[in-house]
Amino acid sequence: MGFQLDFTGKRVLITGSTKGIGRGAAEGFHELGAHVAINGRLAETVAQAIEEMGGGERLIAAPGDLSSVAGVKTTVSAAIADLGGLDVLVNNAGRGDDRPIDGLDEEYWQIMIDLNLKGAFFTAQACVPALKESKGNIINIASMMGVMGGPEGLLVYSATKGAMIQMSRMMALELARDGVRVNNLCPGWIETPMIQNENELAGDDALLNYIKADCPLGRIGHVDETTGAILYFASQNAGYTTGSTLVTDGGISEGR
Amino acid sequence: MGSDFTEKRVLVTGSTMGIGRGAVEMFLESGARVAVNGRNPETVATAIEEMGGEGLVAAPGDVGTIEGCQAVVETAVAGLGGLDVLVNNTGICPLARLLEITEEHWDEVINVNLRSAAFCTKFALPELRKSKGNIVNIGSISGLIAGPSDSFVYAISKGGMINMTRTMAIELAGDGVRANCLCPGYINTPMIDNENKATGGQVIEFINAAAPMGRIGTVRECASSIVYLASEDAGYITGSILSNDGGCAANASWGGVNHLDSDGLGGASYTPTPRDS
Repeated sequence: MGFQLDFTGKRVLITGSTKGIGRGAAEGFHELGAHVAINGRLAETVAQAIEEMGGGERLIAAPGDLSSVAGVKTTVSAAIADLGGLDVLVNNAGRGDDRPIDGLDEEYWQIMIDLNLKGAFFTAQACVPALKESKGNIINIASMMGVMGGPEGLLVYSATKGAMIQMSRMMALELARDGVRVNNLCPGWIETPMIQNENELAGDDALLNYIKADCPLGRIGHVDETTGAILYFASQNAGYTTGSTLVTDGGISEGR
Repeated sequence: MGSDFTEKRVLVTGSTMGIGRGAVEMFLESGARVAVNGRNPETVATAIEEMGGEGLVAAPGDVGTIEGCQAVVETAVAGLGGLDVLVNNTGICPLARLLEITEEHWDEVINVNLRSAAFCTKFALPELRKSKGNIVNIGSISGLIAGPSDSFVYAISKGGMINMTRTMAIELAGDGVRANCLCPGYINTPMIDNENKATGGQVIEFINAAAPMGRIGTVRECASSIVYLASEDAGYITGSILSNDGGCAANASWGGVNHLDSDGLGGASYTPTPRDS
């Protein structure tokens, strides 16, 4: 049958999908026929993203804060009910980090862990019954900072992403006999609003220039390139792939 | 060489028994002064007494809380007069399968196993910078490859520990402070021993079958790896992940798949069909 990407009738939930990597994936699945639940913390932002994507009955609003277990449960059950089941979870919601070890405090630690790790775990857990029914799959969006150490300020972020990769392996093994696959995507520097903002804050394209110099492929990655990897994992082309980690970072983590 | 720890000051969290206790004993034998930690002051006192008392400082306290991390590090630093080595060893492994995991279970395991290492490190840093000391984080084979499915959050916490060690190493390299991670496999601790007795010897039988080296590891074999990473012999080693597991991680097997088919240990295993030669 060759390499095919067709998600007609498939039901997909993507957390943190109003912009960036999540949004790119949402657009990809939508173009290929899927019903996609769009999530972000705020209902207005979700509504706006859906409008920008052209609206229609295959785009479903699933706003909700995934940094509390209660928020996860409400958001995920509503999304699955609205989609009428679930074939693919893209566990993407997360936040960046900028706190050196000396500055760690409980509040900061908790904010990072609650969304990046705890929220991701309980989101996946809440989706498991529906995924068992559909023999669906999960794609966890970790980071290249989950397979290597980061510079000062990335301690908690790199801990959450390393933990997420291990979470995917455990889930993959646990759910393999149910026909549910679980994989990891580890993006490097990708041209998202988050990175664009950081670049503007740094001034003189300092971040983009750093990336050009540091990355073996000599450039920042595009959202289309993470979308392609996510669609691949979700498709039958990856039918025998589970517990796997794919790194889309232009070679950065290989050169360390 | 580097295995001489005379005048060195070491804190090992979770060290009244098991791997932590083994590390304390070996640091002590190598000339160090060591702070012993456990939640219960009486257990710490007993452990210190059993180890002969000399060169040992009591640093009881619960590193599962951030205040506890601070208190334990402060007690150890005060008792030792500084700090050269921090071994972040405290860990718990309550069992729960994927769909049984509650928020309470999650919080307890992540706070005790992962957050404790971040915050003990934070509070120890001023002293470690002064001494150009180092940190040994205790990960696990379960942070490297998937294993038994009832130690789910434990595995997640250890995956976090391993990669957190790398960032710790990079952030602290400029201060001359090293950070490494030791990943034990099946080690002959009271935890495993109790489980083995409870299952009529099945655990050891299973480990002997699962480990490429065909046996469980001893606490002293594990302790010596910790002492090595902390020593001057490992002076150029930072951000490194060292397995101490009889080959389990290299073979990507420590029993995970076997657990799919049975609630107990063992379960189905694959036996290659004999071939005529």
